[in-house]
Amino acid sequence: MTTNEDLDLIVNQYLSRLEAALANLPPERRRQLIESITDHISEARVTLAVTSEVALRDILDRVGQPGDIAAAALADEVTPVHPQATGSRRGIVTGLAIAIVILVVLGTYLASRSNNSVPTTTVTVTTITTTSISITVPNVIGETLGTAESALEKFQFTVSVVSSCSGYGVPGAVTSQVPAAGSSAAQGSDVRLVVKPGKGCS
Amino acid sequence: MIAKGSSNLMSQMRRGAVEYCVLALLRDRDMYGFELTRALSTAGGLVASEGTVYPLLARIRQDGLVETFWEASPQGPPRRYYRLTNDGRLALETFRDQWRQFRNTVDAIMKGSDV
Repeated sequence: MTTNEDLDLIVNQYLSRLEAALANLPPERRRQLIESITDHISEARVTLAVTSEVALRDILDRVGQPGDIAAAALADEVTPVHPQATGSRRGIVTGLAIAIVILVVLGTYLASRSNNSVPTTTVTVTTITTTSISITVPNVIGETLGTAESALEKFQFTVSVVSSCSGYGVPGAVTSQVPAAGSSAAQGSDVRLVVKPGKGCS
Repeated sequence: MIAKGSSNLMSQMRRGAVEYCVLALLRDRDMYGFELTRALSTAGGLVASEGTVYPLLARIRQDGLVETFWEASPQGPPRRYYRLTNDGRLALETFRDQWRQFRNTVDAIMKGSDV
């Protein structure tokens, strides 16, 4: 008969191997992951009323090899997560870089002018263009206008609204959108929504 | 004979899709780690093991697609539940549309070349 202490020992051995395999992970991530897997094993032991070593080994097999878990954790560590979010951030960074270059050039130019001690008025118009970034338009059909707007603004779209009784949907909901969900549109571009009025439609 | 690159291709496709399968499982109800990871591993061929799902859960939580909360369990330690956020719901809907389109296109072409 296997005692609970024996089972605890097997779990602890497993967790030590896991901890060693996760050595390359940032400490906070490692702590979180070990906590989640510790909870998972405790939950499984209670739920499945585990009293034998065989049953416990089965649970640990399903949790997986520490090396596999470490590989998954490291892969998630380096993968850029949201192409959209990363793209828009890159756009802002590009914009800032261009702005800084323009300021430096302008500063150097003005400094060289002031050495000539000729009073001049310089009017400078700078246009900052960033590379346009395409973002996948989310589906907001069926949402209320408020939810649709905040969803679209999160993806950096502007929103214009037309009110119409035609189209399928409950009062107050978005019944259609242009561009359609799933298509690509430039960051900052306009998404037009048709919204069914809250009342007044027969 | 299985083409050389196919296991790597499958693992990449799995990697991309599992995240959305998690969101889909959470669409109708909140789930705690053990039941969520077990549902995925029972589905077969989707995850290498239950433990490999936790890094993914941590990441989509960090991305704001899911949020977590603790709840007492009737029989064991407290459970950390995962709940879909509005962003998560939106990401799921978008993926579903794109996936459907992608699947239909690939299926149609595969069917055509099926001899």
